[in-house]
Amino acid sequence: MSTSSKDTSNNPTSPDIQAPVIQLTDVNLSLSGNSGDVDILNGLTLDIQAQQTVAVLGPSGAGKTSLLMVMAGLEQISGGTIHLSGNDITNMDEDSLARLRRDQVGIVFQAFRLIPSMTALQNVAVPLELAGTPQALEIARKALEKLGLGHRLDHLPEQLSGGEQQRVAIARAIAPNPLILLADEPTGNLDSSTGELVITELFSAANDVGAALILVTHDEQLALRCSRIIRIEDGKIISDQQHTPQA
Amino acid sequence: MALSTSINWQLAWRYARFEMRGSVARFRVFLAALMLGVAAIGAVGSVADAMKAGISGNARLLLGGDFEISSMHMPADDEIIASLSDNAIHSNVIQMRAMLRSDTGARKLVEMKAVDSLYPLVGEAELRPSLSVQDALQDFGAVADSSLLASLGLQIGDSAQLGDINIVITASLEAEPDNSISFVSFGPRLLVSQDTLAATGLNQPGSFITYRSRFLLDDPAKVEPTTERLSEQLKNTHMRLRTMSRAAPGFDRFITRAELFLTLVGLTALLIGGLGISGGVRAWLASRMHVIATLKCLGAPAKMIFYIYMMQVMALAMIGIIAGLVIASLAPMMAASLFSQYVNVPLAVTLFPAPLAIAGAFGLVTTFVFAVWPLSRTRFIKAAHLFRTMISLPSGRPTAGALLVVAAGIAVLVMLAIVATGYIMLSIYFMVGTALSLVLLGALGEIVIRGLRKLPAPAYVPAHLALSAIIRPNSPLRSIIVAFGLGLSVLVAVTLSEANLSRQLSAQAQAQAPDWFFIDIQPDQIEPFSQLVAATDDRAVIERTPMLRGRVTAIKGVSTADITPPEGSEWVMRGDRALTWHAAMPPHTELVRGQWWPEDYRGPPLMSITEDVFQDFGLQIGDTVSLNILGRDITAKIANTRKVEWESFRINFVFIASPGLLDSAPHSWIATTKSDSEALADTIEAAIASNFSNVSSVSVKQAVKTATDVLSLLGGAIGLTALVTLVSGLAVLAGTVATTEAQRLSDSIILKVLGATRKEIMIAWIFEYSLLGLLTAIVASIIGSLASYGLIGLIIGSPFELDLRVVLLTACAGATGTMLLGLAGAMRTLSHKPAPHLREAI
Repeated sequence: MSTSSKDTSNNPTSPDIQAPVIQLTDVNLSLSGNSGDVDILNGLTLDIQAQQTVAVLGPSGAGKTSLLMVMAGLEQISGGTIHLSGNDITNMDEDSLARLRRDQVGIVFQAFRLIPSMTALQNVAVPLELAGTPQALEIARKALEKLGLGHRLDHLPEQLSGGEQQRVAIARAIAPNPLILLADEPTGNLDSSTGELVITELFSAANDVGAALILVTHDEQLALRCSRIIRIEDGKIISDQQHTPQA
Repeated sequence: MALSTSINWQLAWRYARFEMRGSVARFRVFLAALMLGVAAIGAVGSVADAMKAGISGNARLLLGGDFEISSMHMPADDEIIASLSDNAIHSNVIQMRAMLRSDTGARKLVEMKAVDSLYPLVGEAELRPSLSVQDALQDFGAVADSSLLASLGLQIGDSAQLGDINIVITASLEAEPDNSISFVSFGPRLLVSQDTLAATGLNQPGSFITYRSRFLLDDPAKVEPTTERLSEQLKNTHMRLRTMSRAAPGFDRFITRAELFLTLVGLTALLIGGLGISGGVRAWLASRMHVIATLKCLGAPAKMIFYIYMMQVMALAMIGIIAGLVIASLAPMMAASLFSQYVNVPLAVTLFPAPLAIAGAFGLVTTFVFAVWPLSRTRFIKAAHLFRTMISLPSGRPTAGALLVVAAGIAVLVMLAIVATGYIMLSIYFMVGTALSLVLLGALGEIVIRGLRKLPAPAYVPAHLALSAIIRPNSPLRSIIVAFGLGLSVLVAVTLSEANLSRQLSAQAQAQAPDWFFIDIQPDQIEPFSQLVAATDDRAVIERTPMLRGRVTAIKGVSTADITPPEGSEWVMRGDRALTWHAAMPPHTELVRGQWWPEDYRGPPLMSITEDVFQDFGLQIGDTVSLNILGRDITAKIANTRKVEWESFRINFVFIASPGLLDSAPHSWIATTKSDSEALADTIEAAIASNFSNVSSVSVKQAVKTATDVLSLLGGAIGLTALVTLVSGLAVLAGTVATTEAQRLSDSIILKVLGATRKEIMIAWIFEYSLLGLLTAIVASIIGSLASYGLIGLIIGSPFELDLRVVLLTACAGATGTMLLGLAGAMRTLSHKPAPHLREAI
């Protein structure tokens, strides 16, 4: 990455180095459906420290993606509190949340979610430009080069392979030097060898910028690469284990 | 943080440009609707300005001088002419209608113009062969319009009878500098000298003769003070002043009214197109939801998203607007050749910035107003949507800010309409009326949907699917009824009204109307005339009445100069009105108020007037009306009112005076004849033409044909304007198809997975769009029929007949059109294979 030290000048509140970057306290999430309210998350309490790598495992419908969404402030919880790098985001308005995500949270999606009308370089520059970062395009270029995409800067997403698109998405997520990197099944749309390469680069990128990496996955082997494995079922944490990551 | 509180406009514009990549094709129908509306408004304004500028630039030519004094029956006063002659060249023109008869016996009513040696004072007449007017007209020479020569089979050098003499055709008239601009004329032009006119014996007291004295002043600076002085001098006399500002008075009015009507039609098209814009923007945003969600996820505030897409929509709109303006700017050129078939109006072919600016502003504001609503819904797209399947734009109420912006936009549209039309209340009524019509059509759509929901599900699966698609939430039926309902309703109303009026005209002509009108019968000719008719056909019905013309100068003692005439009755005060006098109440008269005077009445002058004019001017029995007849002011008390059926083609008058008042004034007679057969009727006309060379005949059959032709032209023109709104409706249909495309794709994939074939899905869609079109056409047929009944039955007061053929034809055309167009738009989704979409959804 261009810088390895954390720049927190854009943060609403600079986090205490010892404080968790994500703190969930008794979080409940209910969504309205055709057959009434459905409980998605039930009284979740969880702290994630800076630079930790965390795998969230669980069967389909367990609430993994919903957990990721509430951590990113993308879903309004029904109960409890959430602190993101020391900021209480529980009742934060949408634009403030957007700014907080822009400065402190990077997200990598299973379906890449690149903007099809922008080139790889422009896609990566978006969060930097939105933050008013000087030299946004230069920083974006370096991020892409670091991920081996220096020759693909001016390509539109449709001109890139799936693996390349996901690497662009990783570059976009880490370019603003976030405190938190959220990844939702990042290899779900890739073949195994490409997925392996992407995961390696994801861990490496998170390590480079010193971000906490929270990885939602079905893949037990992938989870073993993290320092902490959280298993959830029916919206509840059923196990939370520290672990020595495998290379 | 640069973006913490304010929007980085430069960045928003950059992202808007990125998003525009490849999006123009998606907006093509939206752009077409915008282009059409802007082109219509801009073209109408440009052509109207081109005509006005053409008339203004050619005013002296059209007028035949700096100003003109005209009078009916008798020339302008000598003292007036003498007072002007010192500083001006002066030329006299005498105009009247007459019959021209070829040596073979063929006859034709002509508009005769007798000119003096100075004609034309301004410009040049073009003759073929190339002769001077004076050379062509000497020794009973005459110059005739080429259509007159063709219809009578005359050649240059042939002679023809005009009144008591034979004239010789010396040239055909290729261009007449002072020809009046009009869509209707009684006959082709015949140019003769005033000596020739005197020799024809046609210039009789009481004949319908218009005298025109044209003046060309030696100093242009004197024109204004001279005409101002004359205007005062000629007030309430039999003479009328025409200045260069009124070079084409009737046509000026036509331009103003046509411009007003067509501008409002263009605006309607634009507003309907606006619904298409709204649908197009909604569909576009629905397809960009993942981009919007991504941008929000990456930290873009909701306002910035709104600005990015608003900039994009407005920038794209500029393409449609500019294309529309280019077409509008070329319109005067195109109109010049189009109008030349109907009317000889000079057009100034140049660029008219004002109407183009107004049209462009209309396009921009309409786009803005109709785009704000769907754009405001981007705030409901959450970054969380990135984790979920997104098909349609989330629903929700727009913010108060968005509503305020829409309201401000509508206010600007009303202001623009006022600027474009020049009428404040009319513009407000129009906008409110259009909005109410659209709301009414939307409500009707809702009623139809609710009615359909109560129907049992059809057993046939494709029909079931079609019905389900129409009655589901976000049904396209409302949009389609609103989009096509207005245009189709107008089309049904116009077609039904035209069919009713034409049928009645023809029926009246067959049942009651006379065969021939004879005009300019001198008082000493009326008895021999009647005897000749009776001798030719003893069963012929003859109606005859004396007639002269007068100008209304005061009503209830108030000078007409100080009266604002009521809407629809301006014509009563505008020119010379024909009037007659009767001792006994004429046959077929239906009195509404008051009493007819005794047959031997010899008291103070009394007047009978038509009920509609009586009501329009708010008169009472006993009120007075004053007329200037042959230079003499006459005031009469209103004794009664009559109901007049003008469409009966009988002799009818607005004013009928009591006897004694006008008997001795120079006048002529008018008569009608009706025979049992066309052959007998034509025999009478031939006998009259042979024995009374000064009497002109007008065929009622021809007049009815002219009237039905005019009705047909008018109906066609209004029908065309309805088509403009229908074309705008296409944009809405396209928008609706685009909006439901994702839903339709999802439906078709599920149906395919469940085993439905492409054919079955297509049949379901054919059912769906046919039903949509049919329901729209039924709603439009009901509204159009009611509107036509209102016009024919209630306003005009004629019997109304519902022509089911017209209604059914419109309904079928509407259903077929909607089905084909809707299907064409929807068919693309059929070709999609299910697998990739299913993979994406899983």
